[in-house]
Amino acid sequence: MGFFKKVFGGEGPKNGPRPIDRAPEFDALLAEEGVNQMESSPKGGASAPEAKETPRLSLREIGQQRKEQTKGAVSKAASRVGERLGGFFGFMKKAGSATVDYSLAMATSAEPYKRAASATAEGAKVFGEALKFMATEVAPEAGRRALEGTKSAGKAVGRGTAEVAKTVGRGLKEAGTFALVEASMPVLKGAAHTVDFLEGRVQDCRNLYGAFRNKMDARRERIAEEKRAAEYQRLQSEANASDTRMEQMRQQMEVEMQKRQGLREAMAQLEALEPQPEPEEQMGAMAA
Amino acid sequence: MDTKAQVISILSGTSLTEEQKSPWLKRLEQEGATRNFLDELVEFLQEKIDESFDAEGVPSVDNDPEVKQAYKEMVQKLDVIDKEVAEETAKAEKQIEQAQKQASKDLDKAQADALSASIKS
Repeated sequence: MGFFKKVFGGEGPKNGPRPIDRAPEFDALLAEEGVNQMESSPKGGASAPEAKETPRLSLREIGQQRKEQTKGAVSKAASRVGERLGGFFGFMKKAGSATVDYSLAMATSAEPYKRAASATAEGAKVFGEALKFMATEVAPEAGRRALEGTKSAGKAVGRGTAEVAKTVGRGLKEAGTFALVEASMPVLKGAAHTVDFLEGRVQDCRNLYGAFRNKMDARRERIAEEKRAAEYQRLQSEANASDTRMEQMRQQMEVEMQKRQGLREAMAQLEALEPQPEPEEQMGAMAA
Repeated sequence: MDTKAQVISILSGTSLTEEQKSPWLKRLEQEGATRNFLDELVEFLQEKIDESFDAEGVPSVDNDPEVKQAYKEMVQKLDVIDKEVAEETAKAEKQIEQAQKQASKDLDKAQADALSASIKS
């Protein structure tokens, strides 16, 4: 199914369709775009009086609807990516916490090393006592040396065991964190790019519709000017047309034109404003 | 001046009647100057312009060849955007999937390395 069909299939305009006369060329244009089916079928059968009136959309309404739907499609894509990212980060969080848990478990398993270290120290102590006895009672010099050596050896073993436990724990934590960061980086970079991209596309849709709306408006203003000129000429050609009447007409048209211009300027100013976040965005920001 | 205050200032500078402005000011107070609010307000102003044309008896330009051409061009460009969005979304989803697989693999390896280190020591 083409995008145009997909977009126009089913839903009517927001405020209900406005019946207008449409030229055959416009129907042809719609047919070309494959949107004949957008005209809703009359309900109540062909004999119902209202069946003769087919609700139609103006070009402007179609344009607006088309813009909204494209914007909707872009937003949907953004939220789909957002959900996937949410899922991904949930997974990463879980994986991260699993790594931390595992690191903790490994750090806890340093206990046997600690025990070994303490046992070694204990053993060295006992042995040292024996050596001390030997040193004092049996062979003073040899005993003293042996005692010193054992003390140092005991210390070294204890210190070494603790170091091993620490290194294993830290190494694992670092390896796990590194793995997670490594895996996350492309996604984080990609996500930032995707968000920028989608925001850019929403803005493109907005700009395209704005440009189209301005073109329609400018065209209508030109027609209004032509109409005004023709009317003015007609009044001038009338023998009894007073200057006052012509001046009144000119002024009235001028006022209307200025009002429209004022509204256009207001529209441009509003479009240039930095919007405030939507309530759900505010809540999301608070939650974050 | 914040966005809300700017909207109030812009609205007060228009030719809209108090009755026309009032519901917008109320909405502005309730929901703030969100993108949706600003879009709808812009559309409302466009409607007022169209009504002014209607009152002057200026015909609709829906069937104007110039406008129809502009419409056709807009649709073509929107279709391109739609295609780009679909491609970008697919790319992002694929990247997430790949990263997830890689993370699982890396994590398994880190755990296996740690286990092996603990056995060796």
